Amino acid sequence: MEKEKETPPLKRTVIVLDHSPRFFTLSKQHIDFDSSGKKSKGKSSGTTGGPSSVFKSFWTCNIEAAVEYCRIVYDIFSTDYLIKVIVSDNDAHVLNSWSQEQQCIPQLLKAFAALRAPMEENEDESSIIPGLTSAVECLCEPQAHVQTLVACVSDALRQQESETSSSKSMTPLKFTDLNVVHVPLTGDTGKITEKTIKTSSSFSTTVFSYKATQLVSKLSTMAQKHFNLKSTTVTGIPMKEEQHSGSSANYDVEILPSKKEASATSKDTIHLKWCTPKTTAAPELQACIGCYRITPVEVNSRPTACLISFLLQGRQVMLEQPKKSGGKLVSHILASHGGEIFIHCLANYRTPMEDPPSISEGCGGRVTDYRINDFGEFMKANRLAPCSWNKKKTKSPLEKGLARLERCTRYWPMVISETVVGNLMQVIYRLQAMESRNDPLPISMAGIRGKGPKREEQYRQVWTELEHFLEAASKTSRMHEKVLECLRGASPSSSVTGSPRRETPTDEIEGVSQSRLSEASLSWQEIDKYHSMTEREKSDFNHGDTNNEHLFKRALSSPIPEQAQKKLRTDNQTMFHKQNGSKGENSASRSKRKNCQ
Amino acid sequence: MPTVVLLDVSLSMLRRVKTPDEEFIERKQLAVRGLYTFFDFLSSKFKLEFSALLAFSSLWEIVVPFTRDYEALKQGCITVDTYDKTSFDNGFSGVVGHVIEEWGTSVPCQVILVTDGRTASGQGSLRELLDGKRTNTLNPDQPSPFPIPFPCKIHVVCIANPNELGANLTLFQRLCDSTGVGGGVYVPDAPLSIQSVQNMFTRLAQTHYVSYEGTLSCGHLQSKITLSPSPDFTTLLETSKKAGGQERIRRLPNELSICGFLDVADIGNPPHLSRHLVIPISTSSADGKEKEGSKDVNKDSEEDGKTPCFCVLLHGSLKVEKMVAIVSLDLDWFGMLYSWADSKKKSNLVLTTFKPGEKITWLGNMQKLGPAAELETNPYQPIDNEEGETSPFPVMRSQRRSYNSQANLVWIKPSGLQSDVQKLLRYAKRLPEKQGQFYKELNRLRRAALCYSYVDLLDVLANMLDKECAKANSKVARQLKHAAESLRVAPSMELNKAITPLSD
Repeated sequence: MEKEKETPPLKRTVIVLDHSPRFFTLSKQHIDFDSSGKKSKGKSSGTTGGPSSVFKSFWTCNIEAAVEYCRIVYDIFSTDYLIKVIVSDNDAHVLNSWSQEQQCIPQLLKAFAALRAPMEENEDESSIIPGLTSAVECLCEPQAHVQTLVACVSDALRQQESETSSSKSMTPLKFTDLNVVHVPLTGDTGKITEKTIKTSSSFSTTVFSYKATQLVSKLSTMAQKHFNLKSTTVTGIPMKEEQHSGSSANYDVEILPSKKEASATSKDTIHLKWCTPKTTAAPELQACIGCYRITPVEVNSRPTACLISFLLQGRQVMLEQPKKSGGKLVSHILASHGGEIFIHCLANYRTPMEDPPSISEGCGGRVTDYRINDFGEFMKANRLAPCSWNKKKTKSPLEKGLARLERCTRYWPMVISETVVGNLMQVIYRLQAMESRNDPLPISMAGIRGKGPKREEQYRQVWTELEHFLEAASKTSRMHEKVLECLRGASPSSSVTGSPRRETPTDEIEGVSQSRLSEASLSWQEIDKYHSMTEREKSDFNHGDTNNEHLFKRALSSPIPEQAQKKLRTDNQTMFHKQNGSKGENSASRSKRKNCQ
Repeated sequence: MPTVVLLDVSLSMLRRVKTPDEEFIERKQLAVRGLYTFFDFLSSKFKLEFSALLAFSSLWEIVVPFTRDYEALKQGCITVDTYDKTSFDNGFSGVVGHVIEEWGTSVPCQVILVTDGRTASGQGSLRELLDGKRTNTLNPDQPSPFPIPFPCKIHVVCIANPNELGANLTLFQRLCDSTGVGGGVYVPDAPLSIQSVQNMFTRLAQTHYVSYEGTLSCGHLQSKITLSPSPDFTTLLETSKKAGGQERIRRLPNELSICGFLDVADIGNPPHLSRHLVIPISTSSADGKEKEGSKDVNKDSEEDGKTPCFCVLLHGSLKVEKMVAIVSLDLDWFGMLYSWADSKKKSNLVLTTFKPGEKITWLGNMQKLGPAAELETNPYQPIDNEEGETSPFPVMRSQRRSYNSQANLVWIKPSGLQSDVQKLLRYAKRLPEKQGQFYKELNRLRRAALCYSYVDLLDVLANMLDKECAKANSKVARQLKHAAESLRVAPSMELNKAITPLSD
């Protein structure tokens, strides 16, 4: 038996099944088919079945019960509780290990199928004892804290023996609860009384006697008790009828969530009413105070399958609870997450957060030009995803996230009026518009004697310069490439995803430049302001000694350490560059023009 | 967290004491003066906290239900009448009832019992309540208020001279300790006077009402903030401690650092431990650093309103984009910030904390969440020809839940097997076009029958198929015969050896 390296879970259970030949007699549990395969009218229990009745053996009933018990636990507690099944005849057959791969129903079914029918002649040697001994060995394996030992045994006579044999080697176990389930076989006359025997503080035995026909439901109830589950029924689920298309009928589906979910009610099952979900419901955060995995009680029934597949498709179901005062209250949500189904309990009461102070009355509440959309882009560019993490070698993914946010926020004005660097594409469009209107370019005429170059020429020069600049910049920055494409007349949006990924330093801060691009649509206010300026102001502006200057000072005087500026080279500096550069180039071109003259 | 003041209004509260000023004053009067001080403290520093005033004697009444109107609470102190004798059982039943009705069982509360230092005797006495030996013959149906079903800190305020209390002090301490969170017994310094009682209330308020002041940061973008209700994780986590396992003391860090963002659709309603309004506070009024350049800062709130604040920006963007910001609170402890709407008009930035160490399975291990943009391929990609994008969430868990697969047949209810058999026969009747489905069903049934050692079923099925042969044409009959034969020999064959159609 392989040993577990993981920390032992809280609860381990071993189910021991008696596999002696006597169990292969037929029980009274049977299913009827008439020749056409349709349900027979008569109730199946009690009657001797017709020619197409198929009786289950006691062994089949035992497997069904054990598998159902395991199914519930495996579905709800993936790793917290483990169950091992041991089949005992003249030897113990362990059907699954503690490893995660074997803690599942398919493994158990495969192992059950592989068991051979016991030999009649081995009857005398066959006993539950090897199984129980093996069970105790299993439980002790990795110093587990075992609380439950469930055993389905057949014969009460063997109970005493088993108890002694198990309790001897029980020492390392913290607490053992032996549940002996007696299944009276046909012809059994001896009465077994149900009782609990408390042998010591760490060991208790309870004896149950269940008929084969009840076994599954009793074991299911036992699982609920052992694992603190509370039956909950989702009522009024509308489903289309197969036979009568167009009509729909309401069904109920019973599920089992952890009991912690349920408020203290003593009812057998809690009823929660289905609310037909709105089709357009945008995701909304609900105040959830608890979330528990569930499993359906009848996993194969049609209504269950219907509900489950609805949930697994990613839809959510709100569930209502009747209120004391009348009316209804959405109290729970059923939803699947990653192929598992959960019930969320919602906080339905008042919250101490109610009637909060209005943001507009608080700090920063009067500011109206926050860069909400730009920060939205920033957030999108800084979303999280599951990462691998080599603990020895690298920073934790979370630290990487923090570092990334630190880098990306070294210069990040919060309001529109503090930023001009921005939407270059908008600038291009505006330039185009100006050109088509034949507006003069706001270039400084200082130092230019005579009329200077013609407007057309000015525009040509602007476009050429812009293209040169962007071409150079686009080699290191994807967003500049986007602007370049815009300049050249391509649709900028189409190229974003198509452009091959570059291993350049800008990739990391691409998100920022992306937000930058869209951010300064309102920097156009600046240009608009320009348009509304008087000639005098315009010339001042063009000399770069009022607004422009002011903006530069603002940007540069922001408390960025030198080092930070260096690192930001590919981002901010290209922006600065742009402005500085175009200024520089302006003067350069001016001198060129001079030379021409 | 909300506060319930449980005021003893039994006759013994009318006993007079002689103050140092040679004046006689009723204990109830002293209590009321003390409560004034207490409510004044709260109204100046905790405007958003809710408080309620309950009075009890042998019965209880809600004098002022939970409110932020501290004037109403003060008024309530005066108007409340005096009745017969003290029943702690009923008093606490009133508290539990009112709190659960208003806040449910997940909101932590502070209960301040204001009494004269007597613990009563017999029915409804404190000892009886604590020992769990109730002889409440008046309301036998009324469940015991203990253990208190919501996270709760109990304080006892005794309007008595220390020397009057004697053994009752231990009993009161037991009451405070009963919730395991460390409330305290408060006794005024001798001699009793308005001043000493007021001092005692101030002491209590200063010890147990501490506001959180910290920084919310996203890289260099920062905002000074306070949280309402004030976080108190000792009270909240006490319940989980009882459930098992050692819980170390958790405290919110002074800096709440955002480590990244997620879409609301991906976060999927995770269960929370606590929720708090995130309220930005003026940098100028906050103590400590960042003094440079603040000399000229006008401390006027008008000015604060006009200074851009990161909280407001963050809230706006989270709301518009339907996103949440993930905040790391400790190595294994996380929270999220999102826009929460109280009404249709108003929304606020809210911090939700998750349970420390809690695993939100669909997000994977939260400690391994890192910037998506720095991964080899960014998992967030636009979907072609559609709005929306791909997402790395939910993290898929095992697909081995019983409901994930149609392969696991359970025939606990006869109807399950019956409908499975019907399905097989339906396909049998529609051979050869349904051959694929027919053999698939056949193998599912065969496999399940073998797994459950339900061998007799195979024979019955084979017989049914034989009967179908009679109605079918020769080609189909050949298939059916083959299927029936294969079922009969299945028990001696390999489990994984599926029955395959007969080739023509």
